[in-house]
Formats: sequence, C-alpha cells, structure tokens
Amino acid sequence: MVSSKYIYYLFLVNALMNIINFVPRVLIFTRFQGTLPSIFISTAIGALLLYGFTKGIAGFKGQGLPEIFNANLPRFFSFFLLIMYACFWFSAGIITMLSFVDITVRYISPDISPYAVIIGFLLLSAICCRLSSESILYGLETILFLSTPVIIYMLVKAFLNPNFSWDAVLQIVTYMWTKPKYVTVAGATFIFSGFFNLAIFNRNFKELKTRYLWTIPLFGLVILLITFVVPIGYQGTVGVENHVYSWFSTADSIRMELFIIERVLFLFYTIYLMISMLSTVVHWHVGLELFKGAFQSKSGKLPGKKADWWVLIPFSIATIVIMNFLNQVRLGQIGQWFLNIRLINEFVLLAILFYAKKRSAKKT
Amino acid sequence: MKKIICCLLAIAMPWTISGCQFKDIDKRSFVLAIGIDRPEDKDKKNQFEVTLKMAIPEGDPTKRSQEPVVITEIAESVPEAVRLAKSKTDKELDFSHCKAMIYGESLARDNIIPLVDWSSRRRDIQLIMFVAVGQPTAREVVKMQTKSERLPGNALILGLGKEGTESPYIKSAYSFDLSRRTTEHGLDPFMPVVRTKHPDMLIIDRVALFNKQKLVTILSPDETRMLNLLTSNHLRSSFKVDAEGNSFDYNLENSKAKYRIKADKEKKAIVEYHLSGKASLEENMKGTPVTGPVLRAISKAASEKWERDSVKLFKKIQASGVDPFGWGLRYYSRNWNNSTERQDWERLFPGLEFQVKADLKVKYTGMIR
Repeated sequence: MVSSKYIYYLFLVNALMNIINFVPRVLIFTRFQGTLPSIFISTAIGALLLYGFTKGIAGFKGQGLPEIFNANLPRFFSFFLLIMYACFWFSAGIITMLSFVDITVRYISPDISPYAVIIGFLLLSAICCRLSSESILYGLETILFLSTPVIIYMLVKAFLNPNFSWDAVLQIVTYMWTKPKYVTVAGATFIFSGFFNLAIFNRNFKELKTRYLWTIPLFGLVILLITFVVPIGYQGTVGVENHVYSWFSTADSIRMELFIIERVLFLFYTIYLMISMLSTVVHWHVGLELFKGAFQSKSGKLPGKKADWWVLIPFSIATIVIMNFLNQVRLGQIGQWFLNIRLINEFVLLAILFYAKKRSAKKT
Repeated sequence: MKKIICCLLAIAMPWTISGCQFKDIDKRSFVLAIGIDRPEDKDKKNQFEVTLKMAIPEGDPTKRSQEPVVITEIAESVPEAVRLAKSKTDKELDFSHCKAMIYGESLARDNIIPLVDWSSRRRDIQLIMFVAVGQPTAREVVKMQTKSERLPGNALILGLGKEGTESPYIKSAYSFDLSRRTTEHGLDPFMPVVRTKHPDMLIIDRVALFNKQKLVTILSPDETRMLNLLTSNHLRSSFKVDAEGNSFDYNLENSKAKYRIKADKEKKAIVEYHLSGKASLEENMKGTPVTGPVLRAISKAASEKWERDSVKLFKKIQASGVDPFGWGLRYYSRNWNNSTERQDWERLFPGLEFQVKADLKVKYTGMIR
C-alpha cells in the first residue's frame, strides 16, 4: 500500500510528457483558430473527468478496473471492455515510443537504424512494465524527483531569456475570442488523463485521499499555457508552425553559456527520454494488467507471470510493424486520431464506472 | 534457465551498439564556420559558393598548433556544394559544432530565404548559431585568421557573441531569431556585419537591416550603437557629449529602453520611447572640476543628444520601410481586431511619429572630481 501522494505523480508524468509531440502540435496548429479558449474549456473538462473518475473509483477500495468490471458487469461485456481499454493503453505507450524513436533518430544520430532504437525501448518497457505496481510507483517518484528540478531550471532559463518575445505571445492572446475546436480540446485534455492510470494503480491505495485535488486543474492549466506559449515566444507566431518538434526546436534555441554543455537541447532530450520512457512503462503496465484482468477466472485468480509475454511480445511486434508503415506525417495523424478518440473514450469509461458503481450498490 | 537468458541478452546488447555506423572523433572534421556567397563568375550568378572552416580534433587544445582547413566549393545549391566539399576531404564533415554562418553581402542583397531554410531544416546545425553578413565576401571573412585566434573560427564566434568581447557596436543575432523574423508579421530580420581588414583583423561594428528577403540598408557604427541601446537592456558603452563649453565622455553602466505605441482613430500613431540609464564620467577634456550642477548639465545634454540621435535613427529606418524593432508586432499584440490590424498598420507605418524621452543620469564623476 502506498500513500496518496502517488496520485499526483501519476498526473504529473503525463502532464510533463505531453510536450514532446502531439499536444503542442495540435495546440500550435490551431493557434489562430481557438487554441486559447480550447485550453480553458479543456481545463474544465479535465477537472470534471478527474473528479468524476476519482469519486467513482474511490468507492471501490483497493480494486482495479478488472475486478470492478468482472464483478459488476456481464462477463461478456467486461471481457470486451477490458481488452479494448488494454489495447488503448498499449497504443498510448506505443505512440509515445514511436515519437521518441523519431526524435532520437533525428536529433541524436541519423545513422543509427530506427529498429535498433525501438528494440532498445521495447526491451526496456517490456521488462519494466512487468514489475509490480508498487515498484513502478516508486520508480515514478524517483525519476520525477530527478527530472522536475531540471525542467524547472530550463523553463526559468527560457522565460528569462531576452530573446523570448512577449509581443508574439500577446499577439496570440488577442486571438482569445475565437471558436474552440474539438481537436484542440481533445489534445489539451490529454494532460489530465494521467489520472486514468488509477484504473490499475487503485489497487495499491488503501484509501484515495484527495484533499489537494483542486491543485491539479490549476497545475494543468499552467502546464498547458506553458506548452503553448514558450514555442511561440521563440519561433514567432507564424514561424512556429514550421517546426516539426516545436519543443525540441525551442530547447535548441536556448543557450546555457556557462554550463558544461552549451546546447539545452541535449539536456532536454535526456530528461524527456527518461520521462517518456517512464510514461510508456506506466501505460504498458496498466495495459498489461487490464489484459490479464480480462482473463480473470471466476474464482478471481489472475493469469500467472509467465502469461505476460503472450501479451507483450505481440504488442512489441505490432509496434515494429506500425513503425514500418509510418512516416512523419502519418505518425502525426495517428497521434491526433488517438487524442480525438481518447477524449470520448474517457467519458465512456467514466459512464461505465458509474454504472458499475450503481450495480454494486444494488447488490449489497 | 532465467540466468542463461539474461546472460545471452547481455551479450546480445553490445551488438546493437556496434551496428550504428558510428564514426570516431578522429575520423571527423568539425565545421566551425560556414560562409556562403554568390560566385564572382558572371556565368554562375545563381549558384552558391560555400566556404567551410574546419577544425581537425587534436590532443592538446592549449597549444596554438591548430591550423584550420578551409574548403571552398561552388554548386547550384548549398547541400550540393557541401557534398562536393565532402569529396575533398578525408574525414566526415560534422556540422554539429558549427557556431557561425556568414552570408556574403552579394547573397544578402539578393535572397537569404533558401539559406535560412537550409540551416534550420538540417538537424545537426544548431539554432543557437550566430549569423552575420560578411564584407566584402563571406569567404574572406571565414578565411581570415586573426592573431588572437587560438582555435579555428573562435575569433568569429567570440566576436559575434557576448562571452568574449562585449562591444556596444556588436548586435548579435542567432539563427533561430533570424528564421523567426523572416516569417513573423511586423518584425524584420537584422544581422551584424563583419568586415575584414588586412592583414589579420575582423571588424564588427555595423548592423544590416533586412526586409523579409534581402538586405535593405546598413547602419553606421553610431547608429548601430543606438540600435543596440534601444533594443537591449544593460548596454555597456561610452558616449561623448558636449556640455558647458566642454566635452565629456561618460560610461554607461545601466540602461533600459521601453516603448509603447499610441494609435488613435485619425490615421496617426506615435511611438513613445522611454530611455533611462545610469552613467559615470570617464573623461573630461579640459579637466575643469566637475560639480553637482555640472553633472546635472551633462546629464541633460546627454539625454537630449540621445533623443535627437534616436529620432534620427527611427526616421531613417522608417524611410527604408523595415521594422527591426518589432513595432508592427507590438501594435498587433495590443489590438484585438485581428482581421483588420495588418491593413491598419500598413496605413499607419509611413506616417509614424516618434517621441523619445531620455532620462540619463550621470551619477558619478569617477575616481576624481
């Protein structure tokens, strides 16, 4: 059993990880057509989902989604839903991983084969996601403790730089009164969805103490604004669209004159490698547990540890196959589709959870 | 069983490392500065002449034995020229330490866009690379070996940046800044100008203003210093001023410039600058004692001189039709009518008026009165 602070880490890892690829991409893409209102709306939606989900799952003490579904829903439905959500969580990990393979090949060494990189990443996440939920939570804490100070340092450096153009940022602010778009809202709410990992990690909490839950929408809003604003301050209101990985270009535009290395890019890359691998591990762990939960026997026995590989190996192969099909543009499209579906899916999950809660209340 | 699998995995891991065609450091030559010109040859007017200054890694960087390798190549595009240069050298060209890119004047007067695109598109070229215009040609500038240079290209890099010399006449520009200014509405690019002086000197004391595409005008050293004062805080510089029938030099210790644009409905806009600074005296031509009233008189005269000079600079820049200060962007960012603001500004720009309020305080007389 772990203390309640780990809930916040689950949120934080997702919120920090989002800036590597898809979220800033969609935010920047629609910057003249409703990003800012979308950010505010998605903070509200995110808060709603957050409260709903924690309220919902807090009713089932120490139970994960598989136990809840299997006990309270028709067997066929729960099997189907769990497999679907498992695939969903796996694909979240896969998309993060594929983005990072692309980034690694692009920024670190173009000579290296992407297959070598992806195999390294797959080995790491496949081995780590088999650890117990508790170890993963402890790992989460350690890595966040190591990386958050560096991220804050880089952000301070970014904002204090005289080359940061506040005029460009304010120019974007004048596009406040535009119609929000669904794609942007779907992208922006992603940073709140770290919470949904409680679907499995709830097993490890004796009781969900959510006294400081209100800080999360607040933090989320700030993180979203930073995600959106910093690339614009460096690349300009128009030029920002030209950069494929706007945050990596931004990190490359900041200079540390008096540090061991001058380019912030490499520091940024290392930190974000850690965070995105961590987020992949968390996603895959949840996916794996959901998958195993689908095959839970009537007596409540879960499949053994050895069965893990029957899930992980097919998904690893699928990752490599998907990578084969993708170029940069398609990866962007798939990522956006993932974000779009994700938002609806979260609402569906919430509805099912409340339905299950009602059923369980009836039973007792 | 488990142990055996783990051992096998551990043995298999190094294979992935060797598989990446990694080239050792002694098989690389590091490009430290690039210069790009239009060839002098009339037939090749539309081609590019690329000059690469390279360093070969050596053991001891403290010794001054480092002779740079300079390769010049002409081709129809920059990547093509780089490929040609690759076949002239035995080592792999590595651009990841390239810290300066010089645009030859002939090229800068023509079109810089393809090069800005090339340098920001290439993954290994840093966005924090310095950019500058080279006079008479970029090749001359890149080839120049100054006496004080200890590592190849270092004189150029230190000169353009602020780690080495910190001159008020140098307005440094980064690659990412250049590329953002070529696309941004209401903000135009500028680059410092590097001139060669034979036999072994580089002079950086001017700044070139661009419209989105090409060089429009080059400012004089005094105007460059004024531009620097108007665009950056904490400029360290000295200025000369005549007051009380005497001539003084003061050293600026702290400065601050801010402005706002007041636009009204009647097709008129005023750019209001507010300059402030603190200074101490550095030289007194006649050696007369400097008292409190004299200090105040110097401050007043110096402030008035700033006001005159900056308005003159503004008028000149306005007449050339470019906007290195980003007044346009400031105007857009303070106006909410997004659909019409750009036409409004285009109408306002030629008739802009300038008001400068300078508030310079010469506070100290130096070590003697």
